[in-house]
Amino acid sequence: MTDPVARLLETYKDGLEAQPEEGTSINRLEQRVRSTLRERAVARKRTVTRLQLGLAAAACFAVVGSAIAYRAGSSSGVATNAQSVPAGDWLATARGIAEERHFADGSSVRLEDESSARVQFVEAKGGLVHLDHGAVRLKVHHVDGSTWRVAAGPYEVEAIGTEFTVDWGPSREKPLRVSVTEGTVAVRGPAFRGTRFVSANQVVEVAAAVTEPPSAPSAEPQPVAVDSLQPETAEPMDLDEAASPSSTPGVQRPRSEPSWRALEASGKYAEAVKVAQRRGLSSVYQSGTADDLLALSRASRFAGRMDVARDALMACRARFAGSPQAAMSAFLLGRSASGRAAAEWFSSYLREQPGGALAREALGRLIEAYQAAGDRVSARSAAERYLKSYPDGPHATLAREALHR
Amino acid sequence: MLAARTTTPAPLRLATAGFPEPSADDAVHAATAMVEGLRRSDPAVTRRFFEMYAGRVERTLRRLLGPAEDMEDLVHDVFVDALEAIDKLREPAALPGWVTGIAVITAKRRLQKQYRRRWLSLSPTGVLPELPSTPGDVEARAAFSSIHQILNLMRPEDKIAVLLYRVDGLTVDDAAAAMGISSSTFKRRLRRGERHLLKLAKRSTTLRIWLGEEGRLS
Repeated sequence: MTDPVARLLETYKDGLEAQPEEGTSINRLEQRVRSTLRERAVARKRTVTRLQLGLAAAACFAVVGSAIAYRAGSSSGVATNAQSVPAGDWLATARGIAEERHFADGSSVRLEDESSARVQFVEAKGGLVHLDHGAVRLKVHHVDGSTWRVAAGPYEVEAIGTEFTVDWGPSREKPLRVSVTEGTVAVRGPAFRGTRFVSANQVVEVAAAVTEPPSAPSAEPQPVAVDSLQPETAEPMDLDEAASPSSTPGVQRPRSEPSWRALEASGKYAEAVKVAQRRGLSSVYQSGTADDLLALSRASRFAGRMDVARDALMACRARFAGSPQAAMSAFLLGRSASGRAAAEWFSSYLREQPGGALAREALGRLIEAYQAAGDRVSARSAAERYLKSYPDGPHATLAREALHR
Repeated sequence: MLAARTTTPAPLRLATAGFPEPSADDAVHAATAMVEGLRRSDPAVTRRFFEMYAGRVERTLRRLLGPAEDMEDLVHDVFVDALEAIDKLREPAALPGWVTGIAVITAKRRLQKQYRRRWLSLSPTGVLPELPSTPGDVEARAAFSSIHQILNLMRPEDKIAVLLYRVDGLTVDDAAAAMGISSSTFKRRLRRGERHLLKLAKRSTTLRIWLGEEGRLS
């Protein structure tokens, strides 16, 4: 053999073959291999499961994050600060800055730029957002019994649906604008005959009265009518009217005489009261709905028939005790009363609707009523309550004066 | 020289006990049936797979690694890798070479680990291993021990190329396939490994004596 490499490797091969072979046990080898394969399969399943869970969690975070980001930037392109809700604090946003707050029940409120609002209270299943001016978008996560409302001036928008925007500008020509993105909301206030329901893709706007009703008891500008109803798909439905189609304004009636509610809705308050009186006020007091009674009271006040207005409100309180309309009746009774009587009515409203749309107004007028009645102690107490809840409210100056007297 | 060697029966053909020489068609048919059975996790076929290839895998590992204390673990690793990857075998008829390739990869991993440790003069356990005593004359045992040591100083891929071709008796193409490289790359590694082996052997007094008697290292 002349190849030294071959010679070396032949020597190496001979040495290897001279080594005793271990003689691998097939049984033991097969058992070990099968065991290892089973363990690896289990480990791979765990890894896949963890990866799936991780991916699912990441996807959820991404979807939620995208949704929040979309919500934050979809309406006006302004920057948004998303935080948890600070119930009780006033929120104010500057130009180009929106604020978004999240509630424990999954709902959220977005305060658009140049707006001011207060999350007046938060309950386990809802709450009240008091909009001072500007626009809020409320997205409600509905659970059984949940109630979310937005109060804007004398108006109240209750969430029956899931997403809507309330735009309130007291000094504007059309101070209230409610637009619904999903579901339905109930809008209540002086310009509506009872409850106005606004559904998805619909907008309702309320215009301030151009002229004051001659007998309006308040110096406040009184919105008197639904100025524009801009449904994109259909007219918002007034359930009161739907229940009694004959009262729908603008519809050709089979009878020659329009209903008092149609007249009231068209601003013909005196005629409305006369028609109601011809058909029997007692029947309205006894069988009318709560909204009928509030509408009759409104028409009567504007027509100068304070006796009818008071009777209608008293009937509402007697027949619909505990309802929002009954509380509203207390507020209206207080506004038409004076001194101690007025204080009692405003106290009733605050007791029945502590977070109601008119709570701020009722508490301010309560200070006035106590002062008119000469009750300084009660006036001071009401002033303290007012400043605690509404330090920048319209009665804040009066409240501070009451505290220093 | 190498080109001529690849066409001559120079490599040492080792015994293939337990592997009768079936016809080509029979071998293909048997390998295909075995692969199908392994993919079905057929217990009988799997048992047959162990019986047929355990010895072959162990021998391949022994020739590439030399005596190893954890040979059983290495054989185990080869079979685990093979059964987990059986679905990836595209040509069932290539099963024998494929299993050998897995054994080569397993050995290469071990050699690379040893090669990196050699700079620290460390064995896998931190203790220099002693080769088991073998029968035969003293000079042959000393030569075997010296060859084993200088093989461990070679690059793992060169060592594998030399041993697969020279000791395990594979053809260039089969050895290249087992290493997962082209034939030309294999030839380059083989030439480099042989040169390195001869160079190291010349530095060994034992091997110079072992081969000098016959004047092989001059």
